Amino acid sequence: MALYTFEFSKSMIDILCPMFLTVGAGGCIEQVGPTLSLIFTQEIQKKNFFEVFSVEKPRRVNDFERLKTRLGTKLVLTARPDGGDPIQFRSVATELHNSPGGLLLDLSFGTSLADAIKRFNLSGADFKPNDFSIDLFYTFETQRALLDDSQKMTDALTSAKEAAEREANLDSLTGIANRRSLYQQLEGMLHRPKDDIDLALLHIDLDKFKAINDTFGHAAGDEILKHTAKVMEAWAGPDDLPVRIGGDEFALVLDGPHDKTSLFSLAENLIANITTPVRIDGHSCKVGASIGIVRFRAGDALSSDRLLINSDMALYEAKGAANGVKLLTPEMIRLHEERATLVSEIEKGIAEGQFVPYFQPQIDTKASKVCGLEVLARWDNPAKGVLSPPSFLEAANRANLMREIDRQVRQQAINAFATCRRDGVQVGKLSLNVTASNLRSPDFLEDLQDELFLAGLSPRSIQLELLESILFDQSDKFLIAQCLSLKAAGFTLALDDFGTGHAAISTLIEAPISTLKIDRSFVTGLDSNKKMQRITGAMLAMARQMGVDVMAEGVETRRELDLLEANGCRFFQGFYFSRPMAMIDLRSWLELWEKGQMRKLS
Amino acid sequence: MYGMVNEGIRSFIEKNHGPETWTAICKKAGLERAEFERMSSYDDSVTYDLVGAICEHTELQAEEVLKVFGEYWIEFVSDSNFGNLLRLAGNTFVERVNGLDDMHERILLAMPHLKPPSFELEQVGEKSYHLFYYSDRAGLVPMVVGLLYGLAAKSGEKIEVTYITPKSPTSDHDVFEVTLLD
Repeated sequence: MALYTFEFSKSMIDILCPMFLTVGAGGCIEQVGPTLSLIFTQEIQKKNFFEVFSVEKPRRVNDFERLKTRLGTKLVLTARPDGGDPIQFRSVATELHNSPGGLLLDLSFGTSLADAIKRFNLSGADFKPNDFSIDLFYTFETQRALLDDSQKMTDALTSAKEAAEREANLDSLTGIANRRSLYQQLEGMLHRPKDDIDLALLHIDLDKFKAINDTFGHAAGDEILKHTAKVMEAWAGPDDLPVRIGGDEFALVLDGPHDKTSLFSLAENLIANITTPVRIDGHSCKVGASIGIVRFRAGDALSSDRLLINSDMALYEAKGAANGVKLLTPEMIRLHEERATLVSEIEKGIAEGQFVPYFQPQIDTKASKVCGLEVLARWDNPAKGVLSPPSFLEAANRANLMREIDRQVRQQAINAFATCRRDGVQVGKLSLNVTASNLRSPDFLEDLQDELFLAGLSPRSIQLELLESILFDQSDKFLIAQCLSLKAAGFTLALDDFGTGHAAISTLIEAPISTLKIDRSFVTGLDSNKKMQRITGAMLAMARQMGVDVMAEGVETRRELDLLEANGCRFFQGFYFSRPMAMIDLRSWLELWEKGQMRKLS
Repeated sequence: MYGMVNEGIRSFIEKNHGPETWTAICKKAGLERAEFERMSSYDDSVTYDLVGAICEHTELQAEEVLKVFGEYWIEFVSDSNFGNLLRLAGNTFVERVNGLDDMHERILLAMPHLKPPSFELEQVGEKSYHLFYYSDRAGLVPMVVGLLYGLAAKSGEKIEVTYITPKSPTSDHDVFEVTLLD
């Protein structure tokens, strides 16, 4: 084998290999480079190599003879130069030609570089000039600073992200879970492996919450919501999730087995606690609550949306239940499906203009004339014939379709009424029913005025009929103000179904009502019930004293008419005169009526 | 375990089963976060919990999951910034297995808390080797098998791996027999 022949001075070797060491044929260390001398606190010359160093890799190299078999390969050595923690060296061993059987090992610090520099206070001069590891040290130090900064940024971002995620899942007012969280929880439960444990969703709605907001202000409303959340937290088990879905709607997800009895007991306890009066600014505030319950199991083929629709069905039924609690039944689902079909038909009916006005004449018997026409909505269904509101009102209300039906019927009624007027037919005022949501709608008055303007009518030709129950809450200043605006715009207002609601007398004084319509329940059977005659008589006397007109609804017999007239009533509406009818039939009826009146006069 | 491994598991699940499954697995494993920082150190229990949750979700045995993940791990690392380190070892399966310790040592410079395994290959026949696997961690033998198959696939070779001697109180390593196939 050809050999390179070099001669190096000691100083040259010290520069080129400051961490060299030589081992003699006997395995003892003979010479040591200056950097190694520096870091070993005790002299290592003459010591057995394996007393000072151990060979970590390759494994099983634990004596000098085996070390000689690994010449030219990478060695990983460890030693304790100062008696402290071990330092790892990388090394490579070669034969020493001028010392038969001896080895030359050149060491470097490897992964212990940074530790060694700090621990032994090494400087650049302790490394060979072309050793890149000292450059690496600078790089590592810079990198460490960057990593520290990066770690700080990561920690800050992680905290911010976690806080944002927490907030995104929490209701900011009550601090309990929000709708998003509810959906996640339900999805998670539904996607678990199938088992036979009954889980449950309690859907909770506060009753009369709006009254708290309106009467005591939104801050009081917020306190009620927080109170409700606290009650739910108190009753929730460790695995259950109390949720504020939104507004005054809450849910409690029960992640554990519950039988029907325990569910009802829990729901009733929740209601009892939620409805406990809360003292807010010296006032005792109290809401009601209803709870719809739906049971489900992990692995059920349901979506969280479907679960909420189901619990909402039960909640709807719960609102009419004595204890305010209902568990979902197949019957409820059937009714819901029927209602959904009906809603689709109603939507189709709206699109095809099937909702039409019927008119029932209102008669002034003293003047022997038609003093008004009450507009009543009918659904002219091609398959089922002409349907009255009980067939569609509930479903349309729940699906928020009544506004559109009202608008469609009202516009047709106004146009038909305007045609009547143009034709010189005297029919008094057009009487339109107004709902609370009409009154609360900021656009209602303006829309109505626009419709009348387009039809060439003035508000003075229109009477608006309000249900008595609308004005039940006399504290609803907004509704009273709306009534005053309508009066100021020229409309007259009548209170419909009077006697069936709970309006305070003071409301009658406050609201600008010019006509009371006595409900048919005070008219039907009047001729045979003395007590009813006295009550009706008292209502008429009261109205007279208040200076408002009275119209009796539901007059069906001559006897009823006579009795009411005898008590001073002059305005009537009912089958005795006419059923509600389409405009074309009304026109025929009006002709007959006119002829009848003429005959009477002649 | 470094976040890199957990990120590898995430990538593996998302690629094969979709992000929703990964979210469900993290939830099952009781993890609040579904992402990991590759250069941060996490408790080993996080990785073990993830593997447990994957087994539960996929209804596969841990051995199967780990073996498949071991193969995928090579892909994942090759496509990462550490891919160059893997290539540095050489082009053949044997060179690459021999280079694993070097690679880990180099990575240690940047990730000082890493507790990498160690691999030693010893030729015992013309085409057969004994692989000595050293690790402080338990239960990852099937992952090593997958990893070896992954390495072989990466260098276009075919191998057969047989697990011949388990780690024991008297032996700090597991032994595999690896045969190079034509």
